[in-house]
Amino acid sequence: MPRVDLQWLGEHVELPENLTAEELAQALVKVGIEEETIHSAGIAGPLVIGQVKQFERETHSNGKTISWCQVDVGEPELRGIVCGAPNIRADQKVVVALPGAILPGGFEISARKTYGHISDGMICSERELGLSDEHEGILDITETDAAIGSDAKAFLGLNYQVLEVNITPDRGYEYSYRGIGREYHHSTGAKFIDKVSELKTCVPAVSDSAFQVILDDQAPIRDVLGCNRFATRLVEGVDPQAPSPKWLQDYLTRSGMRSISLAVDISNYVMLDLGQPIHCYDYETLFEPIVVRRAQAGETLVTLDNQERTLDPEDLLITDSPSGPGSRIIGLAGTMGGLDTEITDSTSKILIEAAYFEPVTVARTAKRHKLPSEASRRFERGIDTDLQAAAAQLCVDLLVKYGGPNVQVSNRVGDINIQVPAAPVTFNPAKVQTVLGLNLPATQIQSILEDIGCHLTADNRRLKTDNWLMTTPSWRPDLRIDEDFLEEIARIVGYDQIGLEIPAPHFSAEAYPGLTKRQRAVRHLSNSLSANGFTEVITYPFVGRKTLSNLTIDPADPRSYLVKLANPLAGKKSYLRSELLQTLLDTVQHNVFRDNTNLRLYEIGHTYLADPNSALQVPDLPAGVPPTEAQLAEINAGLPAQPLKLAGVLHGETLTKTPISAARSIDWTAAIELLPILESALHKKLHLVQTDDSRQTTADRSVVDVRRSADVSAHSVQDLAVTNSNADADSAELVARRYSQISPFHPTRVAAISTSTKIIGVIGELHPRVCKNLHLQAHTVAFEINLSGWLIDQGSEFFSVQPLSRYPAVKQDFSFLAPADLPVHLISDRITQLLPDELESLTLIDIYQGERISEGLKSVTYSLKIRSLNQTLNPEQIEKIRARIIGELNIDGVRLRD
Amino acid sequence: MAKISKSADPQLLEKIWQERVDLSQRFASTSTGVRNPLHKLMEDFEDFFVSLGWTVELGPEVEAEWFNFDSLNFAKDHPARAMQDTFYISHAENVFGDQQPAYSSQPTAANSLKEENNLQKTEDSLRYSADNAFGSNTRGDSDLPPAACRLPSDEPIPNPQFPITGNEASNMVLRTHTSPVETRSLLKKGAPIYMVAPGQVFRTDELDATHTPVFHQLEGLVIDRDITMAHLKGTLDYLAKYMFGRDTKTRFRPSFFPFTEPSAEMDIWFEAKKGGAGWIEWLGCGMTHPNVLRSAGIDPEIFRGFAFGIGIERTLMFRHNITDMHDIVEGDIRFAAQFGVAQ
Repeated sequence: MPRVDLQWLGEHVELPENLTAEELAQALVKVGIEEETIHSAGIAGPLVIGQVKQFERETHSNGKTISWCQVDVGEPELRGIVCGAPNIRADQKVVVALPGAILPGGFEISARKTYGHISDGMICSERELGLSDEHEGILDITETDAAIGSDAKAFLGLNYQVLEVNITPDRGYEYSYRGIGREYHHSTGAKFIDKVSELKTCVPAVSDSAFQVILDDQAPIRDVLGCNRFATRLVEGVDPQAPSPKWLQDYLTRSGMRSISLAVDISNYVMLDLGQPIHCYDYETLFEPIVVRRAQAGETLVTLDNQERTLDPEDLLITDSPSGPGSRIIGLAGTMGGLDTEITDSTSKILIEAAYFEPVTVARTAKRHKLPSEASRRFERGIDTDLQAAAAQLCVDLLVKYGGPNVQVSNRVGDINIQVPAAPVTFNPAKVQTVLGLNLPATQIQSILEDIGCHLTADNRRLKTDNWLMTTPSWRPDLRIDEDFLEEIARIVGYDQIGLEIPAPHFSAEAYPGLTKRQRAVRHLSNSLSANGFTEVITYPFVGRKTLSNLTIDPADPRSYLVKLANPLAGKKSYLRSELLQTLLDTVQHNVFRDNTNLRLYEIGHTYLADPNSALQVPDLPAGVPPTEAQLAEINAGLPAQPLKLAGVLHGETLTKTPISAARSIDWTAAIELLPILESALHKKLHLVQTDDSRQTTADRSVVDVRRSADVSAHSVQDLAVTNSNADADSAELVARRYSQISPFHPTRVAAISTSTKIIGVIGELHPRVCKNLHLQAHTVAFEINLSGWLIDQGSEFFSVQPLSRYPAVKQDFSFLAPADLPVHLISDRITQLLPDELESLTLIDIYQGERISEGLKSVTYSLKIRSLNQTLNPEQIEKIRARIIGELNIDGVRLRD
Repeated sequence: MAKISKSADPQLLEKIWQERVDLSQRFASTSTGVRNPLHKLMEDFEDFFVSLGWTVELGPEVEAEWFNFDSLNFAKDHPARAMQDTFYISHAENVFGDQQPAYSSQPTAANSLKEENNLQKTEDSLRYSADNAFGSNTRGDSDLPPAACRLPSDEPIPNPQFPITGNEASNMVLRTHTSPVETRSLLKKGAPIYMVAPGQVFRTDELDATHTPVFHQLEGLVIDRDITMAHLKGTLDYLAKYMFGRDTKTRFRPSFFPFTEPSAEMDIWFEAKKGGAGWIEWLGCGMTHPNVLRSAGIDPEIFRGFAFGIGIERTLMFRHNITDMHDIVEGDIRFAAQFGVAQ
């Protein structure tokens, strides 16, 4: 970003004396130029002019010779300073850093003991002051009139401050001292010094003998010519060895550029000063005419950085004509010159080019060839369209002044100008009130607009019309519509002049305010899980091949079909996850590696699912017009499905060892314990259903297949503003894409999570191989639930509340003998079915297998709480209920235990 | 029973004494959970705006370029559309499939493809050369010309074998801001609208102390008949006081975003700023650009409004003196735990 040297800036605007960089920054930020940082010589504290009164040379045991000096620094007493430099002599004037001073690089000076003396400061070399690399001896200023004891920073010019600023991309003109000066004027009212107007009056008339230039753009981008202005000047007899004056070198250095040679320094100076990039050619190497044209496919150019570059037909070229017009390429327009015509240390005849190159052309070329330059940066943003001749004139003036005794300005003055004059624009001043909320008199609005360089047409100066017709300044291509001018007015008046109001929305039946039910449901879910000991994490959605192979997801699994990034971060995962667990398990691993082993993590986030049967593509539509219904539908259908999901992982101990409890590790039982938490969090009755549950048909429940559960979790209707063709869970393709696997879960310790009507997720222990791959504890439990489509439905909101019985409850325990492999829910489901009215609750309190039970059987004990809505149950009624349970259970192999 | 008193029953008194326990001991707990501080903060923002009568709108993360850029007045050549800032979606494939060449390390290829595509369109000429979206998590590099990217200079040149041609471009990105939700909501609900759009957004910044490629943003939009810039300032000043305390001072500076004009950045006065109290940039905002309204089918002669974008990570860092982004994004439970129980 540009650096603003205060001294240089003073050539464009009257600055108050002793203006600091901080004050400048404060003034500029008001008009939209942000402070990046402040640069200075890096010297703080006391740095004074001293005089060596006497000194003694001492050679020490390490062989080093030092001088023990008595130095007058303008104080009553002399200071004793040890100095190692060989050029110390009596009465020499020197620069002394006193204790407390800080030299460049943060080098702090203090009084310290060295070579047997207390050295009360330091006599400085040029390098120590950051002036040069000179370090052979101390800086000798005897021959100057510097006063003993005075501030050496001021004497050495080390008081400078440079403000580095950020320029917003719409204001290319601020990439110049002239532009910054103008902004300082706008902010403070300080007088702007219009150097360019003055220069324009000095430009000689174009001559017939001008260096011939042909603008021949046969392929303008979007019908805008790549170059419409090309000014040339010729200066002869320049001394190639003439040095840049010190001020010029200092200006450039402080503005962040290196001093190279007089011609190059001058062109850089003009660019920084006025904002017009300049190119200087060695005239003797040029073949007339210069032709500005687009590249032909296959053409190459060796640029100044010694790189050979293959050109694109869109690149705009500067060419000359050694063997026919345009036969040799000598530069990429606005970006970088070529080696053939470069200024060398023998160049004395210089052709100066100041041209206008169109922003898109330069931006694309600079991007294509990775050649950002100070010049391209300015052209990309749009330079002043009427600056070229004046900038070339400034170049000429400086070459004449500093180019040695034999400099001559040639009368071959060129300025090809095929610009179309900009049409006047309109501005509606009423909008100052209605959009900005500022009540300004029309005359004030007018004077602001004129101050930024607009000219109102004669009629409009009377300010009677609704829309003012005006021309915009040549350096402000960004000013086009009312709003552009409104910003100018607001920032020049000051954003702080605009009041503070809070708008009041209208309420309507369709657009009631507040969170939607769905948004509240997601919050409730998240709050419930965190209240139940889960920590919410957010993971990056990026995965790679390894991510999926670690989870043992195989290539045939539809979850392997992933959305791919065109430009992933270097060396990073280049796909988007198809399940949350893919990335959540990474975070689990990360914690485990950091010795956070007791983990209950969850994430609520999106997954990304493409339809393998159609290309991942949406239409590209024009800006500025709303899409039609059909186009919108096409966009939404083309996006991948992005269902919102919940995933969780439990790792480590579910109970830690305490004085009152033993430790208990996470395993499959945690999944069962989690169910009521999930029910409450999701506000939905849930069931866990196992795949291998062959007998579940006997229960009143639909057959479910855990494979299908995975399928549903992967493909369901997304809830965002997107509807998606591949989101239809019942489509034939999706049926065909059913999972063949249940990775990453343990095949016999996994269950589908189901509502009464559909599968919503899966829970279980991770497969032992997955735990091993990820270095997780065996039996780690994980779950993933799809939240899209079902989270809010009529049922969950408008369910009926059951009336409460006022009669006493009866507790009855039942123990059954059942085949050891029987899923116990079959028993409880049946009991629930048998007692639709009286059963208040049913609790599984024990499962026993062992010596008191025959081989192959288990004892299952339920505690039932029975209560009638209308009466106190008497013993007979209770006995009837017992009999019903025992008599009508009707599950093969299950009987009441005696 | 109710009549028992200490003096009446020495036996009970003795029993009660015998039953004395140590309640000061603490047991380790495995059941202390906590919400993610970013989501919690986002909800805090949502609640503020809901209390003003606004709605919360959501949109997809993999988004059409049209919504992410074109509809928001980003010119086709806007550098924010360059690969350096935006994750482009290539295509979908089987992650294990061998039929696909390994070209994932050639980001410039798709870039050139984008450019080819752009040639066929007649659009606004390029005027801007920096990434300018609200709530960027990037600071100070808005000037980087497009080619001055942070990729190594020896990155491979575009591969002519790149499998996608211009006609097969996905035209999708990972959204770089939640601003596309503005257009989606306006298309769906029309004006007037008072809304915020919280959500996850993506930029191609490597994770470091102050950047993350995946971060969170809250976009706000008001479109109505009589909205002025004073409404913008009033709302955001109020918000700053809600977020950072009643005495918070705000400052609005002119700035630039393609989708607002006039544009501003809002600074807050930060007492705890490193190196001494000072202004820090908090959010970007402005009056909605007429082209944005046109893209959403709203007549800018009738309706106007304002928009703003806030970085959630940035806000969290300010509020809690967090100096390293790694702590926020890595998911180490010790980070979130500090938000569960305050000292």
